[in-house]
Amino acid sequence: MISKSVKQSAWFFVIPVVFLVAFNALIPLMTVVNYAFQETFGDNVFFWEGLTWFEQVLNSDRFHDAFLRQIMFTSIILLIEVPLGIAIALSMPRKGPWVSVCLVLMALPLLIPWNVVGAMWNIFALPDIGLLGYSLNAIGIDYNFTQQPISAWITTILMDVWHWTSLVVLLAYAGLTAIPEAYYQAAKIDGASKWAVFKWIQLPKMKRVLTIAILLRFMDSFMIYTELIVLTGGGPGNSTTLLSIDLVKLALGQFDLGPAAAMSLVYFFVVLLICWVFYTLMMKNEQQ
Amino acid sequence: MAKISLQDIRHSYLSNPRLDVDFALKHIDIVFEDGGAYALLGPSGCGKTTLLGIVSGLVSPTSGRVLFDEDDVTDMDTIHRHIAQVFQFPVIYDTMTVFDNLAFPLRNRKIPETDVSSRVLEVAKMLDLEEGIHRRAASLTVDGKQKISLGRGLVREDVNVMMFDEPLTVIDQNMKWELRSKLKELHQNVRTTMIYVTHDQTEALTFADEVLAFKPVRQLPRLAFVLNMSDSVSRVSR
Ligand SMILES: Nc1ncnc2c1ncn2[C@@H]1O[C@H](COP(=O)(O)OP(=O)(O)OP(=O)(O)O)[C@@H](O)[C@H]1O
Ligand SMILES: [Mg+2]
Repeated sequence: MISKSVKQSAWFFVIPVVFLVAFNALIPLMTVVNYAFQETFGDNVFFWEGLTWFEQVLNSDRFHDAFLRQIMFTSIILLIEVPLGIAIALSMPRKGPWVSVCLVLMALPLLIPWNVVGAMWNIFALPDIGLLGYSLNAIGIDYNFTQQPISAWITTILMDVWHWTSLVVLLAYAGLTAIPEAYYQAAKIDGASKWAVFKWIQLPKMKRVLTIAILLRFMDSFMIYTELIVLTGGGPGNSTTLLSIDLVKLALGQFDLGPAAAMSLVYFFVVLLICWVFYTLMMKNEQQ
Repeated sequence: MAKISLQDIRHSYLSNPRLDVDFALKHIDIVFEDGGAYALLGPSGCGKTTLLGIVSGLVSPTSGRVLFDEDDVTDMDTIHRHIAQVFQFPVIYDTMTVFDNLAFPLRNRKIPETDVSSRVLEVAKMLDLEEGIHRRAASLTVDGKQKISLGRGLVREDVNVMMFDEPLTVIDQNMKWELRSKLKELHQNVRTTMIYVTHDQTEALTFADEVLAFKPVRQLPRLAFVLNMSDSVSRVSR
């Protein structure tokens, strides 16, 4: 074999990227790591604590509860938004003047700032003056999201579905329009039913974009904060206190920086791990 | 099986055609006799694919009638016309196995599974797809995929006509010759009407009993002349 000469100087070209990543990701993350393993009383004086904070967080009921609520919330919104998004994308026109109208309508919720979404739904759902809240009570349904956990959950889920289903719709629609006409023609010749066309052509062809959609929705919903803090503030009680809200309460409300930092790292690794597992599974399937 | 007549067919892809140039097909009157092997020969863009679409019902003509035997099928949808059509580029169902791909048109028509299986294996054998028949279709090369597309056309026995739209474009040279002879042989065995679109003269002449040629595009894209070469040509091809 002929050996190539290796020029190490090429590594110099990587330096700008190393700096960029270091300054906007690694170094901020390291400060969190700092707090996660040490105790401080200010004045830059730190005491080594090892895994104490991690043990404390992982063993606390409070963390378990917030984590369970988080898993429940994310699962529910994924189970609603993904099928609903696909259904809407399927029923949107593929060509003609209505395409742009539909796309703009769909994009609207995505363009609204998150705190505004929270405020809108808060007012919309208020039992005494909000359109939704007032109407529900008027037809005899006892609904008050500031008092009843169930109502609060339903409102939160409705808000997220309203806000984010569009993202799934737009991605699924992009996947659908990329399918060449010949597939539909072949399916007609083969006598395929609508369901068969969906199952064997549309769904497989949408798989990549749906993977992206699910990953994005998973990550975003797992870290939902702004809309929720404006809508329910985590209440009534702790009933809608999801992970990020709990984290902020811990870090800024109680100023327990050690446990909060440990929780941040746990939180970060959970998101990373679930995304990695999901992505690997989807792509492994692809290669067979 | 049926005789297929196109009567005074015109087709335009525009919603409101006025000039002659708006029409992809200007005026077509052809009869495909039951059991014939036809080749449609013509340059790119002259309307060959459109013509096949009109026969299969994927395209509905702007005016004119399509008859299968004596039945007017102009407004009938594709599935009820009982036709098979193979496109220029392979269309396969990626997530199915080769076997399931070939079985798909039969299963959609509720054919008993034992018949499906024997029919699929027969076609797979003919197209050399037996090896790896239970693998995912997506893992095949382009020619393999095109053979699957061909196979889905060939598995069905009840068809009125089999149409091939430049099916061998993506297939390599040696295999092309072999597949063409297979189609020819198949035609001799089953006597289904076959329409074969190509812009390669040799291909047209080796396959067909009768070659229908379109004039070049920018002149009138209508059927210009019909060559009946069944005797002279088939001898040349062998
Ligand atoms: N879906 C469509 N919409 C609009 N115009 C079309 C469409 N399909 C074909 N045409 C036009 O109609 C004419 C005939 O096209 P057609 O595909 O039937 O030609 P062809 O003979 O099959 O060509 P090729 O050899 O390139 O496949 C062309 O001018 C083409 O641009
Ligand atoms: Mg064509």
